[in-house]
Amino acid sequence: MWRNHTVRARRPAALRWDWRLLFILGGVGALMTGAGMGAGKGAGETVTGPGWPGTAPPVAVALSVEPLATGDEPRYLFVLGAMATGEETAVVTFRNGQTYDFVVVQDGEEIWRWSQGRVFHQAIQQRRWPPGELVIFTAVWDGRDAAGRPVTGTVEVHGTLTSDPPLAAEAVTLRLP
Amino acid sequence: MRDVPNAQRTRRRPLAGIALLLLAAVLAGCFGSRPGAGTFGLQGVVVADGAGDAPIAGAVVRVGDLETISGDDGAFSLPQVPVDGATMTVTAVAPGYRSATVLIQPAPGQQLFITVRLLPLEDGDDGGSGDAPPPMGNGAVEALVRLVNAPSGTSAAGAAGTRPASIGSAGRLEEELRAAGASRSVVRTAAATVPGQWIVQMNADYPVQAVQDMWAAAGVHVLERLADNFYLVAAPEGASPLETELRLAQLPNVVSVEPNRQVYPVAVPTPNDPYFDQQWSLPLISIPYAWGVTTGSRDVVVAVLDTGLLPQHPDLAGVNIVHGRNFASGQSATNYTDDATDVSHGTMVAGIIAAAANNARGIAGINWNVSIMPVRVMSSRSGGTVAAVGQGIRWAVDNGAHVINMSLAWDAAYNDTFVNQQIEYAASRGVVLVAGAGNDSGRVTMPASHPDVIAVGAVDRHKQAAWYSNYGPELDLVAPGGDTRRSRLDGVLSTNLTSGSAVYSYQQGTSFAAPHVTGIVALMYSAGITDAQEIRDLLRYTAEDLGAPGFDHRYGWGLVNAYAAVTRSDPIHALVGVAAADGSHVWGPVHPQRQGGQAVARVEGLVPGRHTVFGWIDAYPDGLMGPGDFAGLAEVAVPEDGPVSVDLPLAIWDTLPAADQSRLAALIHR
Repeated sequence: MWRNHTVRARRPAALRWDWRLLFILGGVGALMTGAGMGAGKGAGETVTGPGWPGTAPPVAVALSVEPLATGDEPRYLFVLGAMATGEETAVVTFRNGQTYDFVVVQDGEEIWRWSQGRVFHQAIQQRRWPPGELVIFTAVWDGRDAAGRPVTGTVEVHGTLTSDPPLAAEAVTLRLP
Repeated sequence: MRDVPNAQRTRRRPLAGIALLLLAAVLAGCFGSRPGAGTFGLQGVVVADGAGDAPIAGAVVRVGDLETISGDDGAFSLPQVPVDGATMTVTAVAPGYRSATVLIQPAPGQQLFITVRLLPLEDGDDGGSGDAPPPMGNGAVEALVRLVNAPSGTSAAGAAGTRPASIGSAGRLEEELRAAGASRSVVRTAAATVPGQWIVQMNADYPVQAVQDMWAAAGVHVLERLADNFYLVAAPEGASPLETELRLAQLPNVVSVEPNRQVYPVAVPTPNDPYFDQQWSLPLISIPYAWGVTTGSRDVVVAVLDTGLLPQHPDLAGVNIVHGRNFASGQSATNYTDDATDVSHGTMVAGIIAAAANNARGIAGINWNVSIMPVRVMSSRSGGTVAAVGQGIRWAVDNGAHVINMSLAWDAAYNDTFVNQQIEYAASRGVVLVAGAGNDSGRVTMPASHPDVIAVGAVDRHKQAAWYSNYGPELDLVAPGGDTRRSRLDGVLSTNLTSGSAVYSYQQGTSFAAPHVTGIVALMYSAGITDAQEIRDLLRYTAEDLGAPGFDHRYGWGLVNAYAAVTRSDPIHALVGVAAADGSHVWGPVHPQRQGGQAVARVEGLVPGRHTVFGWIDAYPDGLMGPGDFAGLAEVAVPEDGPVSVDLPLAIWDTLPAADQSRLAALIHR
């Protein structure tokens, strides 16, 4: 289960609101404030064009991971937030219908990828990020690897905006029971 | 080129070796069975001239592909000779006599009687023949024969404007065809001659005034020098066109004579859709010329595996929608409509293939008539899965699809047995699968990289590989995918949805390259080309070679050529010859051979010097070179010994310069 939400524009259609989601969004927002806006200010200019190589990223991304209490089976909510870094609308190019991806890595090896087995159209698309608008992309991981085996121990979760060029958030370490 | 099958036989008669030309006497008669449809009967006698018309026994008489031997009384008979052109040649050869050639103008069902008079050979006379063989040398030409698409910006009207003479009537014809709109027939008439005008080839390049002086006594007037040693002349009419031609052939320094003919453009339907002139992608791959052959058929079913369809789009109204199905999440199995709110990918793809054409609205789809099977395997909002694609392929095949378009991709490293099996299932049942190669500027993705799928990369409007297009050994072809980085107008235009409203928009991606090929496959089906392997082979071999010569990872076999594909104009069907610079000799013709996927024609036995290599594909199969055919020529310097390679691009006749058309017309009929 996954959703793509624009926080300010509309409420998520299918994700239930509870205090944990608010905590997550708040945390992502804090991350955006620290990383995204700081990066924008550090760059010294507002970037509004497509994310061609050589230009400062127009959008900052941050990742958070939160366990979900959904019964006996473990579930983990991955949330990738993206926010424009400047004071003008950011335009980001995507090479196809995919806009984000999540990868779980253990001991340096990829054990799960959200996009595996998924199909995307092959039209170049551009998305616009008005300044201050936080867009979140979510996915739920069932704690199993690509072969369906339960994973234990420590893993790293990576979230990437699959733009051109891709924008990767700082990885989050997750300790599984 | 006497071996050209069904070619017009207005021969170029080398003047040396012809002893005597005799008039053909036409007698109505009946000898046994009447000639069948398209044939005529020929009877006659061969006699010795100057010897009281003594009959000559054992003379070999040839006409077309038939020959017979005269009897003891000199008589011969060929009751059923296929009519092959307005003028045919009868050749008589007998030991001890100079060979003779007679021109006749047969008509189906006609009975002709001729008397052939042969002159006895004198001492030292080698007899000559109606066709003196060309001199032999040790040089050779290896011509790389390839097809090119019509130049961007050319049109039937533009091509017609380059025609010499009689363009008025061609203009009226074109107006009638445009008014008819959806005419699907190829109209081509090239038999009518321009009265009193002849194309004459001389044995060298002469100034016009010099030629005028040479022929002043004959009352012949040089109208213009066409090119090199070809001249357009006006000659006073004789008792018949044949008599006039014979008279011109006897003028000093004349090598060949041909009447100037009226030509008309191939009826290339131009749809009245207002945005057609912004669809640069269609002329780029010769789609309008393909429409002169076929505009599609509702009997052909194209499955679009995509995000679904918006059938209410006004430019899709009237398109025959069949057997829609949904395998993606969020909607019922029968709800194939797209859930997009902005950019309906499936509607754009379907519009390229099938948007209603000539309806005074929007754009023109590649197929004016076709059936679309919308198979929803992706949500515009949440994507799709490989499993849904596999189910969609199976559904399409089992419900009658002839071709499947997949403008979608997944990582080629992800090997899914289920979908691979469905692809192979489709291929085993003769269904053609087409997919975009992907937009990662990297290796070709799945499903395009599967061997049973035609992988289509993208080019921009300048035929350059698009910045995003994937590449690799799995790439088959390229087609227009657009590049909107500088201008949105450089994208591919198609039917779309924006903010819930039906619109037309420009997009870029291999998503939009693939449906161009799919649309062409559907046209090929409607033209009677239905074998999947033949379709794949034709698409490859008729493509316009781009990038490195031959197959390459960036462009595959090249830019798809719709007109060449629907007319089965494989370059190995070309006739290739080499003409001496003065036009006195022609070597060949030969057919190219396939070498590493390329068509290479080798003409041997050439003497050194600058020659012209020329080629022709009778794409409009009537035995005449002209509108609708592929043709081209190139200059080459043949060495004393060994081969020289030359590139020989063949373009649609209508797009050739007038000078090339004239030279080709004269050369091809030698």
